[in-house]
Amino acid sequence: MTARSLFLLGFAAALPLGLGCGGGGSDGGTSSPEIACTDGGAAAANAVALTCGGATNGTTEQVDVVLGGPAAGTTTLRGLNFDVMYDPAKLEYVPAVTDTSPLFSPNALVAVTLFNGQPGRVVASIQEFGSVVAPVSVGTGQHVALSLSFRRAAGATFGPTPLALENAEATAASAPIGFGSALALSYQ
Amino acid sequence: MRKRASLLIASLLLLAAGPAVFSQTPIIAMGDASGFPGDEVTVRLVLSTSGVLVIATESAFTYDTGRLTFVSASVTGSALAAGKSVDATVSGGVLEKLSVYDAGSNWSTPIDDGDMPLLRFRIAPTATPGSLLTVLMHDCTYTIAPTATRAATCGSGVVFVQVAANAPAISLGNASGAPGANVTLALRLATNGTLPIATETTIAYETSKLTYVSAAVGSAAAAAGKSVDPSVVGGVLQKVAVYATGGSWDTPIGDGDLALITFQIGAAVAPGSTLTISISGCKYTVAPAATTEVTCGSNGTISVSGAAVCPDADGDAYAVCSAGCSPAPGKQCGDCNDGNAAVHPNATEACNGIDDNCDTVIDNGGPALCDDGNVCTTDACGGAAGCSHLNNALSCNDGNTCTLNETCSGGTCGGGSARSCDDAKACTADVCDPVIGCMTQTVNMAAAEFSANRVDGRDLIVLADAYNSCPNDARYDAAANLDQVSTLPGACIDGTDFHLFMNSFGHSCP
Repeated sequence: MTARSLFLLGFAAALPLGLGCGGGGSDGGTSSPEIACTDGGAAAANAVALTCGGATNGTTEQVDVVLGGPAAGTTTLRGLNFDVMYDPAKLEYVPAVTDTSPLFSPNALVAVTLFNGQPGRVVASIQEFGSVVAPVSVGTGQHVALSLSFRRAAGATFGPTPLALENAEATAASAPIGFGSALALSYQ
Repeated sequence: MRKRASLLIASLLLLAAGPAVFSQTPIIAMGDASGFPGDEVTVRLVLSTSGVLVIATESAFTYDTGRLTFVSASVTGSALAAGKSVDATVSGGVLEKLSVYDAGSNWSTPIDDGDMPLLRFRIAPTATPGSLLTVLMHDCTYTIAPTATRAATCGSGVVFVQVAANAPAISLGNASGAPGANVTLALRLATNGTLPIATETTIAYETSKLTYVSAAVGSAAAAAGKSVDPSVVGGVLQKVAVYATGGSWDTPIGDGDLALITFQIGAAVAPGSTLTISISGCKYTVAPAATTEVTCGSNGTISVSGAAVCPDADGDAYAVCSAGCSPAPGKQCGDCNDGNAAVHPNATEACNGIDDNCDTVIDNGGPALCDDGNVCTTDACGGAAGCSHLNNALSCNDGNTCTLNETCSGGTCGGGSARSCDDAKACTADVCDPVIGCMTQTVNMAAAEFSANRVDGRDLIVLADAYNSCPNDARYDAAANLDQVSTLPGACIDGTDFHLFMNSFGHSCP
């Protein structure tokens, strides 16, 4: 594990301490529990962050991997690698039928799966293939690179549980790309 | 001074002779000559002065330049005695004019009656024997003084092309051989001084006892560039012509062999007998339109000797032997069917109801004779009906190492189950090559930091960088060729490799 990934893991683990409940939280036991998501807001310039993509039903939340564009001009890159860590006692990763990236080209190679098939770590990679395809040019603003879905683990009720990024890096980026996650999901 | 005196004397002589001198006209006549085609002949010019003083003459000539070639002219007789010379005007080898005069001290000396120049011509080899070749002399003049030239009477000559006194002889030689053997007779030419350029001979023989085999050009004909042209009807030799159609057509043939004719003596011909090959209609040609028939020379004979040759009627090199015969050289005994060249000892036995190899066993070998090399058919020999091949349902091998437990169906091997090449290792791509069998290749292509012991995005970078490249491309990476196909187009990094990659993606590698 690299120093950077250790930093990212520690940053993600600290999130529940500074974040309150969000979304459809408990109203004192009178309403049905729903999954709720809180995040750190928009991704910073030339940084990747996890952001809430909205609940698809009461138990499932879409989590977007968002690349913040540069403050001005463009940043180019050929891909992203990262792991998404989560608590398998509370959350379950829901694989997509087909993983595609809105940010990268339709022909980009996208690989998303559970590490060793075991819950708790999602390994993801998006890569433009071959040097014959131009790298992606990212302008200012927010750019969704990938969307992942998580739902509550069967029978679990829980307060905010963080989703952290590890082993994160950009491929052939024209500027340093930072990675951080302030996203937490709760179901109570 | 001397010349002037001579002129004066000549003038005085002319005056003394008076008008009567000019009442006669000299005659320049030409003699005849004869020769065979190809010969050189001499033609004489003869002067008859008719009492006129002649100190020089001049004549023009016209002749058949295709059949006569001018060779030379020389002075002789009375002209030589008068100290004259001869001056031939020749253009392109053709004699045009002939002058007899003397530019020296004898210029005024008159020529007496008699021979003047001798002309030599060559008769062309193609000149037709018996023909007359005219040498026309015209525009004859004589000179009685340097400035006094008058017309003389011309007489033309004839060159007779002789028919050869002795006609060429064509004869056929003799040979001997045993029954069944091939013998060769020479068709010979004796030119007897003639110059034949082609010959033709009619041949007759007992076809029940002799079989024509071939005719080859003989040494004499070959030396003259000739070919032999046998006329064969229904396998029977009718005539033998010897000639050339190319550049050697008019080259005379010398004494010697015209052609070598080969016959096979019938196997049933009794030893000790003599077979005659008659020749007739012997013709020779000395020019394309000059063919002459001559009496043929001796016929050919074949003395049949030795023991009878065992017959090999089907020509398969195996004879049917008996006590009274021996096989011809190069042949063996033992044929059990002399009417079928495919049947003889050592022949390949086939399923056909016949004893092909003369081992007394019909279809020796049984079903093995019908082996079609297909394990999915059961082969059987049905004698004269031939082979049968019935489909079976046996286990078989289709030659593809990636399939197991194949079975025969409809005469072909197929089906079966796919061979598993899974090595139970998560980080290898396992594929089956139909020829090589199972092959594995690691998918953990990047080995640094967190990617060292697992298949993840860094490995996908390796695959992506090489994606859509083929061997010999700059981007090609053999490590990313996960299906390990070595030749195009499968050798390219493509979706198959990505599919194999995804089987291992997200797995840790021990």
